[in-house]
Amino acid sequence: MAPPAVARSRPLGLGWGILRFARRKPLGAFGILVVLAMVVLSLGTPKPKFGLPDLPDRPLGFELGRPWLARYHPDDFFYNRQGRLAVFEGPSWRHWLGTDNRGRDIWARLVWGTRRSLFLGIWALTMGTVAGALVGLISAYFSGVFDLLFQRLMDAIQSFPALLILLLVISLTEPSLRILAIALAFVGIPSIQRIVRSVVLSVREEVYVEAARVLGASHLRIMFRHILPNVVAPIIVVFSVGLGAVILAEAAISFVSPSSVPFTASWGLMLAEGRTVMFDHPGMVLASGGAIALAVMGFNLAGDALRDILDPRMRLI
Amino acid sequence: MQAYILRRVLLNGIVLLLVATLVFVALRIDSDNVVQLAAQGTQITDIEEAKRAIKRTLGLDRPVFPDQYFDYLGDLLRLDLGTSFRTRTSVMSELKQRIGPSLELGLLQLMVALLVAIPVGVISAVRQDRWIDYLLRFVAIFFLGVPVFVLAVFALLGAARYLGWSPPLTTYRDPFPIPPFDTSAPEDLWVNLQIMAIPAVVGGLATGAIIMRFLRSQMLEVLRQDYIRTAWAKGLRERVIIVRHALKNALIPVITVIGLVLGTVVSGNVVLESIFLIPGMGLYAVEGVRQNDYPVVQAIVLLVALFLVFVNLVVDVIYAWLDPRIRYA
Amino acid sequence: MGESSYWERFWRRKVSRRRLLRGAALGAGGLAAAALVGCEEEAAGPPPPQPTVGPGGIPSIPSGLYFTPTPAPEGSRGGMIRFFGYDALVFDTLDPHQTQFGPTYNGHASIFSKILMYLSHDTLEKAPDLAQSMPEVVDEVTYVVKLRPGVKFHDTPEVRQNFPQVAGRELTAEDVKFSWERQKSRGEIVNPQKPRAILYYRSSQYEVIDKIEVVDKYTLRVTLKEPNVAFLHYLADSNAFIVAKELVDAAKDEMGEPRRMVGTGPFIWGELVPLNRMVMRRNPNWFGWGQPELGRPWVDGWTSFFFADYATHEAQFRQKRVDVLGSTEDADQVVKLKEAIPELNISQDPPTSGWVNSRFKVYCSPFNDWRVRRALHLAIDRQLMIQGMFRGHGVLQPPVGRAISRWALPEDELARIPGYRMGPEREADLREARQLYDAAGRPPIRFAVADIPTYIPSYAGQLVVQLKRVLGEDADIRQEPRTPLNYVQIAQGLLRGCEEIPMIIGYDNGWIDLDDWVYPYFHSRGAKNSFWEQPPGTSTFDPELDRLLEAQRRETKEEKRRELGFQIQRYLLGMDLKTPGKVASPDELSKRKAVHARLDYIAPQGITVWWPYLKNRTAWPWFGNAHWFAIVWLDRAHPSFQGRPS
Repeated sequence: MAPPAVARSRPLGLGWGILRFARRKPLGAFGILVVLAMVVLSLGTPKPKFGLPDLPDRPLGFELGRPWLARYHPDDFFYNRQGRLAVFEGPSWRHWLGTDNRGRDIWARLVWGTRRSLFLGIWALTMGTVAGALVGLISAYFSGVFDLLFQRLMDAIQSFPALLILLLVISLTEPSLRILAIALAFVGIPSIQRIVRSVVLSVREEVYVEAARVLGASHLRIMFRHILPNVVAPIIVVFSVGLGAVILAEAAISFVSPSSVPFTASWGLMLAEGRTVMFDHPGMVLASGGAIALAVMGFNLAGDALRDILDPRMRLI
Repeated sequence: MQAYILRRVLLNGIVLLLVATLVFVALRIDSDNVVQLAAQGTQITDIEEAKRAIKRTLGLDRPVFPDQYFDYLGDLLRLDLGTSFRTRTSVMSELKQRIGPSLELGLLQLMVALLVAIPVGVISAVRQDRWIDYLLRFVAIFFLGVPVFVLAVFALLGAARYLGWSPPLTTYRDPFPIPPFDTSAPEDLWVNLQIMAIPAVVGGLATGAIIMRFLRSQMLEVLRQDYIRTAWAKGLRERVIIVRHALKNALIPVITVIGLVLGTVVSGNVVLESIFLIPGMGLYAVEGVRQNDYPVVQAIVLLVALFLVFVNLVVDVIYAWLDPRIRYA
Repeated sequence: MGESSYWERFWRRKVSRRRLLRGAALGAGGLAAAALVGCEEEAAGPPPPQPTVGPGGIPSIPSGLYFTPTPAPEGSRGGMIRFFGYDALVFDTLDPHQTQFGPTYNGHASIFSKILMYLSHDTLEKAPDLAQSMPEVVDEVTYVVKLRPGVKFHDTPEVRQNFPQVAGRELTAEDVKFSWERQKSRGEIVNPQKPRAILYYRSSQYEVIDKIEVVDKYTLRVTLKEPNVAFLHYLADSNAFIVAKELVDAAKDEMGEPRRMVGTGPFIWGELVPLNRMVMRRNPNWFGWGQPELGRPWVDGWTSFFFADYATHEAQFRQKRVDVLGSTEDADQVVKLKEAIPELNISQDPPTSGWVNSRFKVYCSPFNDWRVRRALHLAIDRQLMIQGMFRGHGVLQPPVGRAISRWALPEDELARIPGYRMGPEREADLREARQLYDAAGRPPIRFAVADIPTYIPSYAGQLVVQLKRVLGEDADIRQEPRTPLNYVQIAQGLLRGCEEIPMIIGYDNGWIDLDDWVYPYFHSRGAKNSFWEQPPGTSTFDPELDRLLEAQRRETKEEKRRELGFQIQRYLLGMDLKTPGKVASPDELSKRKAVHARLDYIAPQGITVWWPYLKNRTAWPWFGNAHWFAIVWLDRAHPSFQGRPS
């Protein structure tokens, strides 16, 4: 079913629309701001080196250079005026968030970590969504025993908590970002496919769909006109919640097994390295913990708000 | 009811089989790295020969189907979860000792979660959109966003630094028994609880946040129902309405959430156990990863997944028992 | 001699906080090997060294018999001492001859006894442990060892149940012969089919033995293949434990189970809870180094707890749940704690004997080119490592560890050697590094990294950045494999071909005698050398170095041997042997096949505090000294003892 139409007295400009949204859903606006901030932090100059996507520097097929706002390389370390390693310095103009236990700039590591977390999350969930949608469609179309068994397979996949999947993967292979993304994609597939499948099943029964079929409309057309609109809202929710879960899982795995992480600038790793000196030098933990919290909350809130707007019946809170 | 139970059991039985199969397949997709790392830890200098020896131990040199697969399933049924590469003893024997602390931590967390989530969720629903509701929802979202292990480390180090308190070092009541002592001395419950205190409370609060949100939305739904309005009209006291009528019905779907939430509890406990050095399954898994001990990791992942399937089965049955409408769905 | 009053007097001297904190050379050898010193005979010899004071004003206690330990009065016996340690992490095996993990064989030292033991890490003086007296040196290849009669194996109900043949029986020369042969044959005499040969990593010490003859129940006559003055050291070395044959599982060639931990030492195996604690209890029938009437050990047992972070450790220490607190990275915090609680005792630990180093497979490209090795030696910033890994609390390590103070290359000389020197001359070294690397063709460099201690793998990224700054941004330097390796994998990998681990950065256990520091690594027949693709053959790799290494084994005069040790170190560091302070010419360097075959970087040095009720504590730079807990005691009469949990 299509989203309810809203009667308007005059066409709304985009600016007004945004302001109204912000007023109606302040938390959601905050969440979307956070997401946008993360995207902006991750941006860098595209370099014309095309090829297969290779996280995190080539997520879109072309290579992204250093994030514009990062200022430094994440492993770059600094010396203070006495010629010694600039360990645990406080915020300054040179180091916006200070330095960490190895004299590296915390802000730089935070920004590089943002790109990694964001792209890992987007990749994992995109793959999961596409795979899940396909699975849901197929499962719904071929109903009967096949559907029954397939749904059980989805239940099986869903019984593996994200962190444990990651543990299994990193003990099986040397984890590259791509492998982590594929492993995390599994987390999203069952929920996505369930949504798609339920919509397909309900749509299939509708009379007008039968009519359309009789008239010769292709399956593709039916999918787009009837299934897609109903699927968008719940998928957005799953996507946003999933992003938060992926970020948390990645942070947890870096925290628990720092040597398995295939890069040095990761939020979870910063947490792990900074926690022993939390109270004397809180910079590392505040930066990384704050980033994780903001990201997860931001995605959740943004997802909530978008869902509310698109389909208020699904309100959870 | 019986038909329902039978159906659920059958379906979940299939899920159990599929879970085991997924783990089986995981290793066979690319076993090279596992074999290589394990081979590097053996005494055999010729790496190819070492790899062959490891493959023989893991059974990888036989045809995948049917030999390996049925052997694997047979082992599972006999509760033989493999042999650790490092200690060269059975994983199951070590797991038997490790399950206790993990279960204890999980149960304590669940208790804390329910103790907190139920009243908070009810209050938040009943006083919807008042300041208390916003406050409580904000707190819930905070606990959802901030990783549970950050809070736990914060609490542990904060207590150590500012309160001068640290969890006890052993679980004996007399913490440092004078030898010759019986190392299987009974452990003291109070001391044990002190060790579990911070991870249980912190983990419980995080889980409680999830349950609270769900309960609140269920309560809101229930409170709009006609029979509640009737109860108001009849002049019943608020407390009676909420507890006797609304909460009872609202709690039923919450039971399903508990089943879902257990997955996060287990995940969170992997990290919490490694911070607080609680000798449970989570810590065992982390050690297994760090020491490239694949059989251990595989065994724990398998056990946890199977456990979650089983729990969901139980939850399904209880739910159906509590809410008869489900049985005929 | 009231030890506490000594410390109080010392501490009341003006030691300002600023001086304390400026002490950059302070460190914390943090592994709390709180070993203590026994003194049963007054040693004739050099006068006792005064406790030295580090640049920050923190005293370091000399180890050894150079202060008389206060014996425990009758009323103050008993109690359990507790401290932090890594003993509860068993990383490889519990087998006392096979474990390479220092904290593990530290615990073994309180259960098992050795023929001889070390009394001091300053003078390296030895004393008899199981032996009745110092072994008689008949001639340069023959020694006669006489054992003390009446040394009994532990006798408890568990031991009587598990190993009735061992419980309470006397240790004889047959046990000694078995223990020596086991290490010499790398396990083949135990089980020819399944020796875990690679784990007998001290086997090269025992391979010098030609013949062992059991003369009678308490006497052995040993003949060596060649003269070797280090033989007495081998008998006192950290893993030189004497075990009973029945304790070894022949089928697996190991004694790695807790129930097999039965020895003759001052303590009996208690329990091991992985990642939590290791507990040992008092042996009431200990032979007491010939003086059982002293009633040692004076405590009922010791417990080593593992904490994951410093803050927890400090909290437990404040509550007196542990009696000692030491740290390397958080040494500044330790000093602050002393300021907050002035009654504590504080000392700067000696630099540990274990150290961070790199080893190359000298037969693999590009490390078969001395220029590449030297370039890395010059380029790697050791001061940065000290700051990055230990937050400033470490020392530079010459090829013989700084912990062995009289045998390591003197500090002032080391400070002028390229690669170690700082200041403007370092610029010259960096330029030379760049030139050498360019001349060698700018080859790609791949290094592997050990997994523990964790500061090593987490430094890898910084190392790459630092090297690229010196050798050029486009230098192809990478860590490979990306996962850190454990030490068994490293040991295995070093035996295999060039595809695996051509260069490794890791932490190496400390050694004691000069011979162990250099012979196994750099002699053509050394068990740990990385010169050959196959096990070491009989041909000679670096004849000049071999000559020096063999000479130090034969030199009986200590001063001359020291000088030989210095020459060996200079050789390895690329210095000219004839003109002091001069670097060897490139011609000469290209002839030295083994030059820079191992790069030595840094060693940690920590600071430790302990409660004053703990008596007779000292610090050792190497593991394996837990037998000295036999003379520790808890002073119940001391006011600080109030409030200590029982």
